Amino acid sequence: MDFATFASQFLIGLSRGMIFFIVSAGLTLVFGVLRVSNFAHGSLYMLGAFLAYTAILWLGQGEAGFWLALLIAPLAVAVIALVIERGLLRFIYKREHLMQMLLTYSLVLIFGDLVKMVWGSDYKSLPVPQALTGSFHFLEANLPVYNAFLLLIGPLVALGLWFFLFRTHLGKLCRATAADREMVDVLGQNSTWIFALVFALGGWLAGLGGALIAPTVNIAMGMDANIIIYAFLIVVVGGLGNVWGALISSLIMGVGESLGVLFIPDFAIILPYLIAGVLLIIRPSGLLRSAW
Amino acid sequence: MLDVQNIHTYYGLSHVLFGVSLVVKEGEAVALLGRNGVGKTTTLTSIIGLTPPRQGHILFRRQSLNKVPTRRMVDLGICFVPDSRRIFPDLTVRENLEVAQGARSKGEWTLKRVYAWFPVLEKYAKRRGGNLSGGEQQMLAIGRALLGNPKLLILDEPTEGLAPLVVKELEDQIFKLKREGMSILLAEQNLKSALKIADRCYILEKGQVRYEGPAANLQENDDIRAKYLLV
Repeated sequence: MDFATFASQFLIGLSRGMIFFIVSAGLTLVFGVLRVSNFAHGSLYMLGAFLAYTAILWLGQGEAGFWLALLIAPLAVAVIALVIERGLLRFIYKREHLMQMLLTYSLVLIFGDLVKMVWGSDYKSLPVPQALTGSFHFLEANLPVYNAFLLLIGPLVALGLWFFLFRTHLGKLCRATAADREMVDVLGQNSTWIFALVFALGGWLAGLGGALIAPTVNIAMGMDANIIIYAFLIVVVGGLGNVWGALISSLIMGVGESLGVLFIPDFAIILPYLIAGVLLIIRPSGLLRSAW
Repeated sequence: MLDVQNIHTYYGLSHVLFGVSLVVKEGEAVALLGRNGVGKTTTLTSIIGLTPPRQGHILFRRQSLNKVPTRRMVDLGICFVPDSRRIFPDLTVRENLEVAQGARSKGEWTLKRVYAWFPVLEKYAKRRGGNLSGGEQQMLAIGRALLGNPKLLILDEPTEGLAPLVVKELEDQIFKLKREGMSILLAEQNLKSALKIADRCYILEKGQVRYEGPAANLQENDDIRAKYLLV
């Protein structure tokens, strides 16, 4: 195997890692602030992909279609998330974790059927937008432009999240709410809206991940189960509730999966779990500190 | 200003307060005394709605507080400093204060004024709240509450577990707040602290008020002190 193959496989893995990060950042945020492990997060990701598909059908496959879909689909998912939080989740915050699991798991089943009813059970696919087709060549390595685009978006999302959480009043409130919700209320701030906002933000991130992955995969049922397992692994390995931990472990997982295909194709499918296992043996409470 | 009338509060099935009544007048400092576990904290959390009473009434400036959610208390002018201080450990000192400031606060208490009041908070503005000493955390907790521009400041054992020198500094600051006209309700186990600050005292035992009177009287009344306060 030559360096070029290795380098391009590495970069593709890294770009997969960016998608993992965008999705799991939402999951870990929700866990950190609301203390809810949202199984339906993968369903929101799947919805993001399907909604992007539908948006592009409506808007046409022109250049603007993709970008508009990238804007609309995650926002639509955020609205759905908001409805879930206000309509269902808020009633079970004080109940035991099992109730939360049951509720969010039931949402997985409901959204699964809903997707089947609306979009049918056959694969959908989207073309990569014109501006992002083709591939880069350097040092004999090959990288599709779309993956390079993902490599750009990932850090942008991370930067945006950092700015939101550490530089805006609302973001500081989110971090305070993660630490002590009741105290936020005692200080006269509205933690109820922070919960709603964070859940919607989590939904937006899941939807964004789904919309971004849509042109590179078969959009189909089962996307939800695939991503949610990875996302939970990433969140646990990164340190529950820690966005930066999720970033690091996402990249490790993405690259690990990608290089696994290259070096040990027979075992590639179990490699991410193996990596997660080893990392958890080394650092049982996650790579970075839990919560903020 | 604050009129607590015969409140009964429960934690689940256990009955904690048995008809507590107390009054805080405008500009007055009132201390709630009693040993551990007599219901001092519960009385305070009942007032601000964290453990709403099942019976009885709480009035603040003639408005009922019974159905008011905790987060609205600051708007009404009631700010609470809990006994465990509950600093957000991973936020910096400054961020802890900013969270309390809110988007719409336009009162007389600003970040600058809190810094002037507790200079150590400005000095450590960029430190994590969790890395402060107990006394500094207490100052941060009080500063945070002041940013809500309270008319009534409720403090739960502000000097608990602190070094004597720090205790004295905090007492001085709280007394200064009272002199500026702020009404104060504080729970205390430390009689000396309470008598320094308070105009009047209530003594609680087993969830009931057992004594009420001017702080000065308590100083001389060895009987009451022996019965309800000495450990």
